[in-house]
Amino acid sequence: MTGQNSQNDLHVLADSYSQLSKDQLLIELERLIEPARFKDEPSEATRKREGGGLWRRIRKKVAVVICKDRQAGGNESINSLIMAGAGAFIEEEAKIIIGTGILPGVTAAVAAAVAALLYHELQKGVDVFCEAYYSAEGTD
Amino acid sequence: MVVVYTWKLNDGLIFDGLTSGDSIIEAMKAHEFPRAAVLSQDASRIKEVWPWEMLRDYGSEEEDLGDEAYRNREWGEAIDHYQHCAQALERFRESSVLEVAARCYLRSAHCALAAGRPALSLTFLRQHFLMEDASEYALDLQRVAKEYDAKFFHQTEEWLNSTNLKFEDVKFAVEYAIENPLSGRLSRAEQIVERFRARAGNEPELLWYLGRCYMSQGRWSDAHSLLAPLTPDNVVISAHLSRWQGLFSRGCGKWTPRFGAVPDDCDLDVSDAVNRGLTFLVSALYHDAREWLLFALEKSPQDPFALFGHALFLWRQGWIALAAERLKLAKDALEKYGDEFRLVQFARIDETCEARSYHFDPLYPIFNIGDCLERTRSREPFVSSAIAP
Repeated sequence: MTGQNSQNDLHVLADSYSQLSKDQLLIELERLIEPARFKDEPSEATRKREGGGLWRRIRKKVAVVICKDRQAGGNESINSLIMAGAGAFIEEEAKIIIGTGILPGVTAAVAAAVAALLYHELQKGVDVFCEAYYSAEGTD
Repeated sequence: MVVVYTWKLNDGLIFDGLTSGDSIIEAMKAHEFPRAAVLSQDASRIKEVWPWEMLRDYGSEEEDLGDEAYRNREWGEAIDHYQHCAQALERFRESSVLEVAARCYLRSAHCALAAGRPALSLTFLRQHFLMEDASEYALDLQRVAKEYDAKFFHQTEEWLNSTNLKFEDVKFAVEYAIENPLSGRLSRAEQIVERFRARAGNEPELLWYLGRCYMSQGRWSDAHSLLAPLTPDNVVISAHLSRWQGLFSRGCGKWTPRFGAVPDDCDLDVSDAVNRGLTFLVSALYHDAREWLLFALEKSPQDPFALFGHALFLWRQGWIALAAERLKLAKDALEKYGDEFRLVQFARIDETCEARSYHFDPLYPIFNIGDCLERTRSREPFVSSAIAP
C-alpha cells in the first residue's frame, strides 16, 4: 500500500464508503472478506449478520487505534479528523490500520470499510465508543 | 444447516498435484489423512439429543423465570436463570438468538450490580459488548458499576493495612477479585488472605479461599498442594478439589459428559479425537469436549490443537489464567509444527442458520491462537459466538 496510485485508490474507496449506511458497510465487509462459503447464495440479511459478526471482532482490535492512551474528552487529532468529515477520516484511519498492521494482511478496501464503520460508531462520541469497546485491562 | 470449520495447515503440501476443482475428500485420500469419520455423525448426534426447539423452549422458560426473579428482586436467582438461558443458546448464531443471549448478559449485569457485586456486573457487561452494540442503558450501567468497583478496589487497598481485618472482609476481597479476575486484584486478594492467615492460622475455610486465589491465577499445583492434605477430613474441600481435578483429568469431577466417557478400548487417533473434541466444544458441550481433548493430550501432550481446545474449555469454565497458560503452550507447539500435514475439521449443526463452511481466516479467534492468547491476557470473558462464528 505505497505510492501515488495506492493513495488515489484509497481516496476513491474512502469517498465511496463515506456514502454508505452502516448496514451497507457490514454487507460490503462480508463481501470483501468472504469468510464463509454458503451452500446457497446468501441473502442480504445473512451477509449483514456475517458482516456484523466480523465487525464485532474487528471493532475491539481497531479500538486500540482510537482509544489507547486516550484521556477523557479526547485526543485532538482524532477529534479534528472526525470534524474533517467521513471521507478524510476514512482515508486517514485506513492508512493507520494498514500501517500499524493491526489487521494482518488487510487490503486497502477492507481497511477503508473498517474505517468507515469506525466513523459511524464514533458519531455517538469517541468517549462512548472507547468506554464500550476498548479494554486494555488485564490489570487495574 | 451444518457449519463446518476447517483449519488447514500446509496448504501447498495438501493440495500439491491436485487441481483447484478437486475436493477436499480427494486431497485427504491422496495424502492418506486420518479418518474424518467423526465429524458429521457427532454433529448429527448432538442435534438429535439437543434439537433447537428443545433448547429454545428451555431458554425461553429460563428467561421468563429470570424476569420473574428480577421483578421480585431475587438477584442471585435471576442471574442463574439468565445464565441458563444464555448457555442453552450458545450453539446458535441467528441474530435474534444472539440478541436474547446478549439481553441475558445485560440483565445479569443489572442484577449483579443490584446485588452489590459490581465486579461481576462488569464481567457480564464485557460479555454483552462482545455480542451487541452498546446502548445508552448498558453504558450507564457500566459507569455505575465502574464507580462502585473503584470504591471496592479502594476498600481492598485499606484492608491490606488494616489492623482489624475480619474473615468476612477476606471472603469479600477474594470473591471480588475472582468475579473480575484482573491480575492486580488477585495478588492483592492473596495478600489479604495471607495477612489474615498470619493471625488466624490455617483454618480450612480460609485455605479454601487462598486456594481459589491460586486457581484464578492459574496456579493449579499450588492450589492442589495447599488443599490436598485437607481432603480426608473435609468433604466440602474434597468435592471442590475433585471438581478442579476434573479440569485436567478425564473422568474426574462432578460433571459427567452428556455423550459418555471415552471408552477404554477407544482406538481413535489424535486427529480424530481432537476433531471430536472441537465438535463438542463449538456445540457448547464443554465436558464432552474436555474428555476427548484430554484423551488426545494423553496420546500427544504437545498437540497444538488439543492444547488449544483444552484452553478454550478452561476459558469457558472461567479459568482465564489457566486458559492463557494453555494457549501459550498451544502457540509454542504450533510454531514447532511445520513439517506435518494436518486438517483440523469440526462441525456444528445450527438449525437457525444456513449451511456454510469456514476456512482459515486470521480474523476468527477459533483459527487464531495468538488472538485468543491476547484476549485471555486482557482477561476477556468467554463468549461462544465471539470465538467461533
